Amino acid sequence: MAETLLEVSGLSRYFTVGKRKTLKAVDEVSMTMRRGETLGLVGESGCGKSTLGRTIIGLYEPTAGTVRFDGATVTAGRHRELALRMQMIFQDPYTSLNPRMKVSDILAEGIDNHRLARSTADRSQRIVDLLESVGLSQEHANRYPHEFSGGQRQRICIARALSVRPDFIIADEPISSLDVSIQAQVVNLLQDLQREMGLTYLFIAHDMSMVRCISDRIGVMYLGSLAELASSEDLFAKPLHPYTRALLSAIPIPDPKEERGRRRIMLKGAVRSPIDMPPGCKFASRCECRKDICLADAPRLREVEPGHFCACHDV
Amino acid sequence: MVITQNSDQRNIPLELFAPESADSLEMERISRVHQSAIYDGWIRLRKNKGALVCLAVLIILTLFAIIAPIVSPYAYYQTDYMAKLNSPSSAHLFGTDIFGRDQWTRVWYGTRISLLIGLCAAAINIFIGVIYGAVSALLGGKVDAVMQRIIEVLVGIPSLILVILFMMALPPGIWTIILALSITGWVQMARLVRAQILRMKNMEFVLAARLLGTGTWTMIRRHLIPNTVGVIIIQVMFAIPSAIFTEAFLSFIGIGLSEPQASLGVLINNGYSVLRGSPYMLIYPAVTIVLIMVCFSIVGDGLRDAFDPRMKG
Ligand SMILES: Nc1ncnc2c1ncn2[C@@H]1O[C@H](COP(=O)(O)OP(=O)(O)OP(=O)(O)O)[C@@H](O)[C@H]1O
Ligand SMILES: [Mg+2]
Repeated sequence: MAETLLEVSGLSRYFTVGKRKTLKAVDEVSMTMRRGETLGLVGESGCGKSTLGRTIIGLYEPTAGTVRFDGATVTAGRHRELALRMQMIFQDPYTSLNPRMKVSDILAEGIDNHRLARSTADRSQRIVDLLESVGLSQEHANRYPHEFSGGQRQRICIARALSVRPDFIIADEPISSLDVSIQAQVVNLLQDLQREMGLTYLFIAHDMSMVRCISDRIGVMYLGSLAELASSEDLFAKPLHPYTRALLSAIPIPDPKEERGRRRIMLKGAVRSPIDMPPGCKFASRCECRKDICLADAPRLREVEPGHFCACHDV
Repeated sequence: MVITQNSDQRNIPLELFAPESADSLEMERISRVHQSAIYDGWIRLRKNKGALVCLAVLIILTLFAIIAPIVSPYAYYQTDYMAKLNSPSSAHLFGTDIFGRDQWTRVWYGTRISLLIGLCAAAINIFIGVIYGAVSALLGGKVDAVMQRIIEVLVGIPSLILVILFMMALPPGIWTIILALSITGWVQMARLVRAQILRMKNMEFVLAARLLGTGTWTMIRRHLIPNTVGVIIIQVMFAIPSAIFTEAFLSFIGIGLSEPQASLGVLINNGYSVLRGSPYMLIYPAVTIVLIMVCFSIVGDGLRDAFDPRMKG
């Protein structure tokens, strides 16, 4: 089970905004993922989670760095080959389904592109199987997306991603636009499917408690870089990076006694603009334990303890 | 009343309470009635009585324009100097003009020509505009930049001047008018189509299709075109009356069609010159053109409301 499936090294993606200004949406991210694990990626809005996901899957050309999947380098734009290996589930189930296509055609798109079905009967059987695997039924096949609720649409998106039998799925905030009651159902569905099909997930979210329950490991992003990467237990038991500590202190605890007793770390100062960033640690402007070196030199992600990575001069 | 209800509720035996099943399928079973997107739009258009009435008026006008000149005992160019400027009568329903031509036949013949000009100009606008806008949006980069500058230059020159120059350079006739109207008419369509495709190019369903390995042509055919048709139809509904109006304007100032051809603009021009003695010469063609313009606009508005997914209630 320790086999490496995905290897991201020094991956950067910059955008040019305005006149010759560079926005470092993703800045030298390195990490590896084992087959079958779930890596949760958290960070506040705009820190580059979606951009990282889209660069890994080849929707964006990386500015620097490489992505290796199962030993082979991923080339951006080569989706015909990549399709059978990795897929993505998007945040907004309302814009991720073509309103003019029936559910059956949406689910059959990948099957048709790669000629996976041996016959018309096999094709429709696959569609029915896909619908049932995400908890929908055969009678939904001939309907259009606007007839479904948000949760049902997200199930269709999941079925579409599964239609080409990928090994790896990037789920970009798949639940954040859903009702709380539906969120749990979709998370359970994703976990069931992972168990059945041995899927590997990169699960992007900004809700810490939801990530904790689904992820084996968690990566914390801040302004385009990984601040900390560790197993779920380690991260929650022993957060090392000041930003992670602040994030964790913001999660409500269901026990009122404990909740009253603990200290909440309020972040001071504003998030820096990711455009034309000065040198030094990106978190320095809001950090409680800032030192002189933090303003001069950007800390690198290093293995502080076995399996626990952190990018901070202070640890 | 309220109090009794409350006490009633308090008296309900506990056994009657059962936990609500959290079965996901049961919870999500409530969904809309099965409807295709087009049918859905039609249902909403049908609720819009104004648009329906206008659609009916347009159909009736078109039928008259096609049939009336054929069944009429007079030809639109047939003069009769014994019956000049007759008032409406049973022989000539709309009266006759200064050459004794039957105004009823000429009004419907003129409507036919005006509609023809509107439809042809709109068809050319779609053809050029859709291809230009789609190519510009799909190729992007430098090509897009150059194509957009060309459009800006065209928009910068007052289109009426271009149209008038064109009309003076070519022999007069229907096709010259249609061509002249098409020089700048497609620009709006090209802009709309480009904007729509650019918007969709980054929509998540298009990204998802790319991730599934869908090729460029399938992408255009299956995802981009079907989602642009609505915009195109609505734009056409506004392009047709605008072409009809420009033609009428050109004919009215005397550089459009020439005698004995008739369009609504020519008829209005003729009617205007005898307005004092024979007001009916102006009224019938004027009412017809107003009906056409208003009805197209209302139907266009109705279609936009019916097919625009953002309006979905
Ligand atoms: N195509 C683009 N062109 C220019 N800038 C972009 C583009 N896409 C993203 N950005 C910028 O990159 C940064 C990271 O964006 P990204 O969408 O990856 O954030 P995110 O972490 O996914 O946020 P959210 O939680 O809101 O989804 C933002 O500052 C955003 O404005
Ligand atoms: Mg995002």
